[in-house]
Amino acid sequence: MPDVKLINVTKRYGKVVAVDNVSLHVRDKEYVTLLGASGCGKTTTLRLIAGLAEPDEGTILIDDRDVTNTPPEDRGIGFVFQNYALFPHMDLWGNTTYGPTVKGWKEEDTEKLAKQMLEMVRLRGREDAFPDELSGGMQQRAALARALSAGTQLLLLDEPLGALDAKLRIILRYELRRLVEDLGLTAIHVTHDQEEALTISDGIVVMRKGRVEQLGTPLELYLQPQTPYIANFIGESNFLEGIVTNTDKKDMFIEVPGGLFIRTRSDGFKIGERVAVAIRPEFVEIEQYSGNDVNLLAGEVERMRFIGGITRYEVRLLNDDLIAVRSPIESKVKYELGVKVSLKLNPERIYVYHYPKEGLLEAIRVE
Amino acid sequence: MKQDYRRALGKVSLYSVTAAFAALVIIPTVFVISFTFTRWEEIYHEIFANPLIGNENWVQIQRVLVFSFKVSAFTVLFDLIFGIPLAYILSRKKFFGKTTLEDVITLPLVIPTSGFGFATLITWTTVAGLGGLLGLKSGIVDLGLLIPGVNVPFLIFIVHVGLTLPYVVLTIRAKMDEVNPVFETASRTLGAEPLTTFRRILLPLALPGIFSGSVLAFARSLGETGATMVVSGIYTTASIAIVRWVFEFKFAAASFLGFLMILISWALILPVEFLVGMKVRSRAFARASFGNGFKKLVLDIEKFTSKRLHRVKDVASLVIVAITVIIPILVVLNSIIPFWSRDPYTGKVSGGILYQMFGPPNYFKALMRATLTSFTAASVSTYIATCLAVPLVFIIKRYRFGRVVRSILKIPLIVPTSALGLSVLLLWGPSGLNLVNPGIWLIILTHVVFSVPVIVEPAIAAYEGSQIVLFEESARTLGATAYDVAETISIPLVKRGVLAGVVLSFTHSLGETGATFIVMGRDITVPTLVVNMVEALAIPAALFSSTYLIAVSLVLLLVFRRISK
Repeated sequence: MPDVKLINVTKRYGKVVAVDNVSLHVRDKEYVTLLGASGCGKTTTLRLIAGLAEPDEGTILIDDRDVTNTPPEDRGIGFVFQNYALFPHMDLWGNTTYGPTVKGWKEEDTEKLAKQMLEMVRLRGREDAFPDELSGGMQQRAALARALSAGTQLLLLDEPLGALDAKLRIILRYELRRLVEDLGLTAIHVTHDQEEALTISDGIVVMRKGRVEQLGTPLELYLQPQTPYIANFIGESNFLEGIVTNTDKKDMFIEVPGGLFIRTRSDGFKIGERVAVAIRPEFVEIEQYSGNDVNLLAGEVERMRFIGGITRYEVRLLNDDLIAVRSPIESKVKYELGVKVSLKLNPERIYVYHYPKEGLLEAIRVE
Repeated sequence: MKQDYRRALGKVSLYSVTAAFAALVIIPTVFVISFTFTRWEEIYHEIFANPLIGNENWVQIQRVLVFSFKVSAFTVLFDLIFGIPLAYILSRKKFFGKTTLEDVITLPLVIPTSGFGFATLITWTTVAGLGGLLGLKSGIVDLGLLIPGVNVPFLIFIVHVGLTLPYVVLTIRAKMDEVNPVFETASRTLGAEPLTTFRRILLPLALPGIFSGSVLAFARSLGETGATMVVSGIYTTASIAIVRWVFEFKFAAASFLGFLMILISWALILPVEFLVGMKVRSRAFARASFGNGFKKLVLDIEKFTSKRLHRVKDVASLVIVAITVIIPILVVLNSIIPFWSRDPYTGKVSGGILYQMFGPPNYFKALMRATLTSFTAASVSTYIATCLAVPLVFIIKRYRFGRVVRSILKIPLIVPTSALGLSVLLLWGPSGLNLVNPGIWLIILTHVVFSVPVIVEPAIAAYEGSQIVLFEESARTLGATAYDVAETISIPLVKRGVLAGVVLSFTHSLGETGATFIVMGRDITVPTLVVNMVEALAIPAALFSSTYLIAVSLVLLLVFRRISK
């Protein structure tokens, strides 16, 4: 019944703070993804949980046992490495039975479990193949079988699908999820691929600069991004700068440059406050030109592309801001380049943030 | 037309390099073998049916061979026991003083061996060494002390360990550096203790390095002459026997012994070389089952050792380095001052360094002359070897027969040096082609033989390590001709490797004793001079000269570090 807790964990490499005061709680049978751009501290966090690195501060608990200074071999984990790290000098059987063997299990038990695991990842019959004789997908499944045959309930995955090509990655994504569910495992999965994270996880921890930026279910991150960074990093957002001009119990009005006004739910901002406004392209409707109004922004179509089932427009507003819009491909009217249009905003789906101290561009920058 | 001309030029240079390679490296190495067949009659009557002593020569040959192989095998065994942990520490751990430790381990590679042997000799057998330090009135061991059980002389053994340990440590460490640490990490996440991880993962993956390190160390120990002569006392190794017999004009016995040494070392070493080239793989299905109990016991021991005794390997390895390298050098440096004006024990002025070096014996003049000879021989032979080695590197990487050339190049490295010296002497010297008499030119010809492979190997490593082919190809796509590519891409990229090889070859040549003894005639080199001093019991002079050698090699080590960084 693995239950993993990180309490105020910090890890430094020289002057670089790789993991900065992170607290997390992964409950039994949860599938949690650590998501972030490279260098955000997600892999370091995973390595701290595995015991491959020791934190400078903070406590790590697995099943309420303090494992902060326990070496990896005594933590009872399963770890799938980015490039699998299958032992090149051992065949698949040697790799799969490695964990039970070095833990001194009885040969009969070892054999039974290893066979079961290989069966599960559909690699029975390839026991005497060496890693370099297996395809990328097979190596990935072999790595999984090896990690699981040590009898763990806690699976740690470091970019486990990163080395595969796009199509296979998507297939194995679902396979991996199903497997974890069937075996009733707890999984912590590190990835930089937000689509992978959104489709596979119960919970997502978005990390940035060693800190937890936001944690929640995929839907929460998508519909309630708590920072401009999340609004930009998860999915896509248009950003506008503005000043709060009026607010009452229900509504708040924001003026953006060019004399345009946005109305949204009031959310504790004060009049005169400088704010950043994020609007997702899929929550903007493109309409025939009808001028400017509150939540109605006029502009000119500057670019248009078809992506799969949607049309993506980029509309230049009168104030020179560029707004992206996603519109279903079957919508009746198509707007040509250069055509004047009005964009209708959904007041329920406008995210307003205090204007970031470091500047908006810096605040949303994905490094 | 121009193309044809170029191609012809290419062919000519290819043939001339190959011819020079054969004449300067291959034929001199193997000539002593042919000697056995062409002069079989003479050898037979000298060794097996001598009218005066019967087969006494044959008995002696057998005795020295058995003795030498025993010493070498035992040395390599010991090297591995301490060298593998040392290589592991250097490859996997970060700690304060790591660079210093690396330097100390490399030191025996650059110190001329006779100086090193002398340092060991006085450390263990005289009151100036450990004995005095422990308050005894004599050295702590006797010159003739045998290690009980195996009957290997202690001093020869400890000198050989000191001299061969760097080969084992550096080769295994290089191989361990190549092994991605992620495999060890993976093993630990699967529940293996550090020692179990080492046994199951790193050790098998580093096995090729362990094999080639052992081969190098074995060959080095077998051929070691300079230091061994200084500490051997009454014992005679095969290498020393060759030198002695050449001096006694027993050419037949010497060459037959050389022939046997070469043959036996090939028989032992070449199969190992072949193994090194193979991929390390173990099939789990084929692995024998030892039963649950035994396995559990091994794992428990490993667990206990990993958790409780993990410092033992560090300490033990460091103690070995201290005993074999650091202490002898310190003892020599420390003895200079008390011996400066007079023998500190007898009080005799004639037993002081001043008297022996600058007084009537005038060893200083001899030392300076020997220095000139040594440096000239080392520079010229390194220069010739470099001129030959650089084109050889390209031949080895460009042509299909390059692999053959590369394996042939290993031969001079595994031929015992005194056998090599004898071979060169028999080929070029008065009893052979009669082109070169013993003296500095014959020293140079001898040193070229082992210098070429010493330079080629690091250059090839640089070539393979720098993705040179990729850069060459991109230079070609940018419009560079083959010649431009060589000048602007290939040679600059292998330059570091070549330089490292040049320094190694230079120091090797400077310290070489076994072969040099045989071919030097009256042009004495510094290391041979030190042996002569010890044999003449001119200890203070030897002390001074050894310090001098150590100082010179420290400078060379510094240069080596600069270049190989």
